[in-house]
Amino acid sequence: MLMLYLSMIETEAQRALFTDLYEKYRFGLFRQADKYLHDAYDAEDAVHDVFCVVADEYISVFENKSEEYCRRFLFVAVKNRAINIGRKKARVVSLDALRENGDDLTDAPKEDPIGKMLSEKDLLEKAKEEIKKLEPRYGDVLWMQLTGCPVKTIARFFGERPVTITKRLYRAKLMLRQAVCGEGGAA
Amino acid sequence: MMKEYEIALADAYGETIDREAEALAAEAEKEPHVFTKRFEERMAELIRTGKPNNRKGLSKRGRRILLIAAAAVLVLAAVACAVPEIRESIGGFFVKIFGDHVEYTDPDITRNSIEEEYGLVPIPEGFEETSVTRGDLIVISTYESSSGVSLSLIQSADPNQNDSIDNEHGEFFETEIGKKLVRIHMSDYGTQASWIEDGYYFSLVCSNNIEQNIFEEWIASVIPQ
Repeated sequence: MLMLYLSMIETEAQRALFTDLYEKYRFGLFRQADKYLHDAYDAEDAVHDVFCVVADEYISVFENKSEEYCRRFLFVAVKNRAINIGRKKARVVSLDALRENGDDLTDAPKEDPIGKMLSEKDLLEKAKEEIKKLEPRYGDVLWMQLTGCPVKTIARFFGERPVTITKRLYRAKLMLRQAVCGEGGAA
Repeated sequence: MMKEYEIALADAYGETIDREAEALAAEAEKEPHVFTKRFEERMAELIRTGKPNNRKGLSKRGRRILLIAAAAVLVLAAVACAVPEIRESIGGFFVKIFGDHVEYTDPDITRNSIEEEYGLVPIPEGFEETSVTRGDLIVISTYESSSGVSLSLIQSADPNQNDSIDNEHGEFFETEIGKKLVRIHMSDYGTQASWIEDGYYFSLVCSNNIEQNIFEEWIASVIPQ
């Protein structure tokens, strides 16, 4: 089946932004991917894959964001893409990954575990410290969502299924709540 | 619209991302990676057109699988059925025809070693030779294009060389190319040709479904290097 990709780089400004981000950060992004994959070929693929998704659906978002945001986004996306590529190649899968990718309905998210909590200012300050201590697996996905990236798009960037991202987000928020309030942490 | 707490949390975590990114950028500066031509071309195309070239080159593992498959058997899509085998001789090969696949053995391999190496001459346009693996009785040359198509040429003097093809999927036929009597199998999974020449067994495997006339040109270009 022939798949047609419609170019979402619609303007010269978008193309210039895309090129600028690629030229500025490609070496660092490659390093990011290679740190987890230890394979230059695969690391290049991870970088290329992420830029493909940027070109396909996110360059217009980047246009309205700061360069700081774009840089952070690219590093998080490449890191998690690389981790996922490595995980698929590995023979040993972590229990966390098994849980997220399984059909365990008892882990299904019902309501946002942190929304109410963080409307209280004193708890927010503590949350700002605790989020930095989350495992990157949880911190990264939470950061993506906090900055407005939809679950489906996060999944596409990371190379995961949307349901996996949803579960990981839920667990991330439970962990954050546990760290801040000491209640209802992830099992 | 992001809520205030979402912005605050995101900024806080963003500092962690920045630290890691800066450290990686510093490492990259000390020892910058030399990107492969394949990557540079794919990125150039993405920048130019905004469209990915989705035909990726095979990963290392994929290339190994291609080589193993080419050296031993073709990819089969079905399990062998329990039907009586029929033996025929086609083009110098003994052929066993099963219900859903065909196996070939090659009694006409008369060489005892690789005395001269064959290759694709010239190398097809857009391809480059990426590896040559040599054993006592076999040489496997791999060629890759910038668009991700892989070719594998096997030259073998192994009397135990055999092939299988899935005769339920794709098209199988024999044809004469120059003085070579060649078996060709074309399917959605790839394209393979096998023939005996100068006492050697040859197999040319392409990772993609390719036009017959182009594939036959490549077969004709396999000569001593």
